Amino acid sequence: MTVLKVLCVDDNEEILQALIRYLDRVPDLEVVGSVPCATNLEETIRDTHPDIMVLDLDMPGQNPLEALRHLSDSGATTRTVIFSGHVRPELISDAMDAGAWGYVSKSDGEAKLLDAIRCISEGQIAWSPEIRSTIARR
Amino acid sequence: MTLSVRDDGPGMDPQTLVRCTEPFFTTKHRARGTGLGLALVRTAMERNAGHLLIDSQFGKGSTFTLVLPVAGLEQGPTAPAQRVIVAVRESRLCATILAILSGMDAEALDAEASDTEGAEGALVWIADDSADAQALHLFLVTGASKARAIVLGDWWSDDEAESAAGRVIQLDATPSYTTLQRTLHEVLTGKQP
Repeated sequence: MTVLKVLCVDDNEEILQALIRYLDRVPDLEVVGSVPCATNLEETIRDTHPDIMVLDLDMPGQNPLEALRHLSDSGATTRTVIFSGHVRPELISDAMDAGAWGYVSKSDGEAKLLDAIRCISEGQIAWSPEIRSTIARR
Repeated sequence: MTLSVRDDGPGMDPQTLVRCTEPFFTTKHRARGTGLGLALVRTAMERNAGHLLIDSQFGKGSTFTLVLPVAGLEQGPTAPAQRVIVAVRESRLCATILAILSGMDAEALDAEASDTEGAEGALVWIADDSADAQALHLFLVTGASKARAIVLGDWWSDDEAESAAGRVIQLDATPSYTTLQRTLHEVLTGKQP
């Protein structure tokens, strides 16, 4: 069984711990790291080698989308799914432009995040239902 | 059809936002709130093929948007999906194009796998330098009168572009999501987003 390695980035400690508990229960997923901000992401990724990064957008420290753009430009193979409570169309576009493979609204919940992680690992772009609706209304 | 309601209240922190549509979740005193309001709204939307969208900024307020399909639009004969031949090698770029097309209810065809009949019905070919230039040229000059091509990179020669009489849109080899989204929208709908 191939195990997908996941890095979780969220400044809310309770959400971070809930995510880790949820994802670690999935047999073919392994949470290899968790950090509370996007500062030094490159170093964290170099140390943990995640296949997928779950990235919050509203965090102190370095702008997460700037960090993601830097990672994408550097040729990092880790695929990123944004997991955010913010669903504005311009944020979704900015995230996709920065190199995200997916965008899941926090109000769509962890199960949709798990669906997105699977889609992304198979080479598809993944948007949760709320994100699809937001894009379609634009 | 969408209906948005915005308030200038205290907004929700991320933790509350994640859970606010869970049944029985409430931030109010038990005597004042059951925690069922947003759960019921969300369920009602989903039962009617709609969505409840929530955007909230802590300290600034929340916006609740109800998205519902318009009655009658889905009941008539549906227009045939627009067919787009996709010949793009880079995996994220290809996946992005497929996701955008899926959101526009357009049908994506693989350039190599598409059969003749499918390719004949296609109006748009989006291609990077892995595409068969001769086949793309034939598609433009002998295909449907509205046939268009979106070419990624500068591999398409001027001579070929000239004979295709302005049917070719050239983009960077690795265009951004925003550029792809805008270009595909314009080509498929004839309108600017």
